[in-house]
Amino acid sequence: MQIALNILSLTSFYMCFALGLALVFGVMRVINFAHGEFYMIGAYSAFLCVSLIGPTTGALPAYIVSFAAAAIVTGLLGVLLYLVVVRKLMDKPLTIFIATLALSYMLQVVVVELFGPVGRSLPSPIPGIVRIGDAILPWSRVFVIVAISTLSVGLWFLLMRSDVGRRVRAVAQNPTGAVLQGVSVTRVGMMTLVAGSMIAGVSGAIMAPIGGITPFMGAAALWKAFIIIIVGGIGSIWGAVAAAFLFGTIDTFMTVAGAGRYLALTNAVIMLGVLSVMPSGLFGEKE
Amino acid sequence: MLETKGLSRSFGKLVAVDGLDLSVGRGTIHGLIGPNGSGKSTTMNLISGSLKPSAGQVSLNDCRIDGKSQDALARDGLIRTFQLTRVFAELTVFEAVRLGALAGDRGRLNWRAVLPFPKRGPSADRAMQAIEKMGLGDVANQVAGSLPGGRQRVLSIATALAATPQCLLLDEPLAGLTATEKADVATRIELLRDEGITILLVEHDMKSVMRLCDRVTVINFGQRVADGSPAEIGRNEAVIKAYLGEKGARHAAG
Amino acid sequence: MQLFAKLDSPRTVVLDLVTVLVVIAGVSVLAAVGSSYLQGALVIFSINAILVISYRTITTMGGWSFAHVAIMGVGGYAVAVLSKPPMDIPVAVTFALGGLAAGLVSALLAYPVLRTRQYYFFLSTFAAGEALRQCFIQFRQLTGGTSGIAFIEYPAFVQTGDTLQFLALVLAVFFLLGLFYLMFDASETGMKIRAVGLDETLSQSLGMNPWRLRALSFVLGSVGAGVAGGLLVSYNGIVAPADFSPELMFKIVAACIVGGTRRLYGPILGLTFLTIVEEAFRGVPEYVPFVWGGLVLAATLYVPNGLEGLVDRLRTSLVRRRRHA
Repeated sequence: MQIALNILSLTSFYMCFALGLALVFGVMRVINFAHGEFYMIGAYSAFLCVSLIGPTTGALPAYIVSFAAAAIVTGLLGVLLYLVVVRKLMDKPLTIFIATLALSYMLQVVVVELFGPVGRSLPSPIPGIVRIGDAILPWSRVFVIVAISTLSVGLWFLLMRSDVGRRVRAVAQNPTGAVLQGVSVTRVGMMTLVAGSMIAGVSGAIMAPIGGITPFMGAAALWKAFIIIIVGGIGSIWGAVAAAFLFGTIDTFMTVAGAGRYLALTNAVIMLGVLSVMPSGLFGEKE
Repeated sequence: MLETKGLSRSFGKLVAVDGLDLSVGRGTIHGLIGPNGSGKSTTMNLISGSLKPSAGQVSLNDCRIDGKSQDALARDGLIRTFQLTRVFAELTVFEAVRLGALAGDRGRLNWRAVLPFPKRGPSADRAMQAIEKMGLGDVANQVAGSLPGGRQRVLSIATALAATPQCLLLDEPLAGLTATEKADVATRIELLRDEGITILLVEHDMKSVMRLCDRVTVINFGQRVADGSPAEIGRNEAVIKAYLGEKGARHAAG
Repeated sequence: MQLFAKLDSPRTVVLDLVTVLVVIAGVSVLAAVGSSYLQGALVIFSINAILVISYRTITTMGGWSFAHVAIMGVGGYAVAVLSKPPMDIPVAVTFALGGLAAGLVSALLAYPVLRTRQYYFFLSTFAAGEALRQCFIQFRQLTGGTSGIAFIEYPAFVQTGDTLQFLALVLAVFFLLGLFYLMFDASETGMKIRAVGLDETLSQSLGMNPWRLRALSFVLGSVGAGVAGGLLVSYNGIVAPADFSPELMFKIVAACIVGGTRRLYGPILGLTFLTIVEEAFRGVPEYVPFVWGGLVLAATLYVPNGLEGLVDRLRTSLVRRRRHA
């Protein structure tokens, strides 16, 4: 039971990080290397928000507000990224990757200058632990699981049930066909990038009280996200979800078995193994 | 020399090529024609190894070649060109064709190539020959991407030619050429055949097909409709129907 | 246009060779007159120069690897482990062994990684490189964990503590590797690799085996990185995972973006430029990544072929002016 809870908690963490990346890639074939920094900036926005209004409103409402703040800040960054970089380099995926890599370093330096290189920590939104049978889970983790589930389900509804979602899916499947149907690919592209950035920001805000906040937290989590979306199949959102669950399970079991040191190695070997057999990942489209 | 038996390929529910039998004789120009979407390009891709057939076999010189990779086939002497022109656009015509000449060699370091005399060596000679044969001598030192579309198309044939093919698959070599260019390239293709290169030709320009080909196969919906000499094909009612539809055929007849 | 399109015209090879020699001469002169701080910086610069030219060899096949620095680390750790007890192999020999080890690891990575294209390629190399770095940290018995392995010596023929002699060694290696990569580039195999980088489908249809050629350039580039790693470790006297940081990887990529990768001189030019910028901001090192990032961003947006592109534009306009005169 305890293990199942840990798996759930780890999966949700992996998922929230990989989801935005997978969404942006799936629709626009663009890898945003600065995704990690957007995540980190989301966390800092939450930190600012909670330290400013937390004392007056109490922890939980402050957190809810901080999600909105994080979404606005990273959403604006997404708009900026689209207008300055992506629009100009649309047909050169590698160059976009490099440009966003450069951007990620710049953002890192800015945050270090503003907040200092030392990490910050945030109080838990809901203190205490919850017992389920003989298993225990801190409330803060329950909070994360609930928040991320809400985020994922919301995204699913948006993609599957709304008019905007239909257009986004049309572009992802067949950009030329979508143009013929009168869908503005650039508009949808910008919307997706902004949505992906907002997801990154909100994820950062959600995770802030658990993982602590440092200017380097995005970079540290990014390679894991890469492995997840590669194994899941780049562009496949549901593949990313499945891979997040896969690695959530594997990592939990390895940690329980006391082999946590070899996590990175195992993950990489799994990724290389999957690539050897299926170069497009488990659920990726064929080239 | 090049044969397919019961060649089939489907994409999901769509059967693009359906039990196609094709036999290309050594040293002939064999035309493969059919309406748009009839499966010509898929057939080319299946023969050249860039697609794997769902069923059936392909053989070259009585050896089965289906399932072999594209580069292995090219080293066996089966070289293709592409419907959408592909050339090394950043290089000069000479360099681009020379890469064709180099391609089939097993990777061997040639230290001489770093000396400031890059035009030497057997690959360079073969490249120059191919350039002359296709009539590109006057632009040998120009950047490939700066040539007009028609000449890029010719360049793609020259590049394939430098790779010393026994059998050449040409995918619409005359598309986008002016009438004079067409006649010129058609003559050059005939010369290649006279040198003993077997050619399988997909082409839309009927006049050129009728003039060039020794034998023509017509396909529609992935199946063979007719097979014979150009003159026979011109008279074949099934072919006229396939091309013009039922109404058009009656119109042509009456 | 024509000037830079002719990849194999003798003139451009000469330009590369001249650049290599100018760098060696420049570094030597600066080292002879400079302070010991400058001498140290020049050693690091020269090691990085080896790194960028080996990296360029990988980029010619059309893929930007993000595992290069981690593979350099393999060479570094090989030197550290092999030159110390119980192995006690002479340091000079371990440099070669380090290069081999890096080549071997890259060959193992090549199969899965080179089956991928574009996005998958840079993401999977990024993840593979990060995993390698984690290995350096986690396999403590072998690598010493985060603190690494200390007291690694200079090769026997270099006097201990003599930076100038060590610099001469690095420059000699730079010259030999530069010559090797240049020859390889101009060889028929090198031309084929560039062909695969330009148009893989076309190359394959003509009879090239793209996977083999890509793997060859990946492994050869990695060997150079391994040797550079060995030199770095020997110079520092210590090896630690932090030596092979993503920041160094970014510096290498940035040098290639800012300089361009069509010719060998491009990345060297880029690296020189970035190093000068780095030294200019020596007082505020925390801003260096910001400035580099800005330069890379500007280069990707406004100067697609990097400094090389600028050099070419300059040359074309010079030629034109001469014609008009």
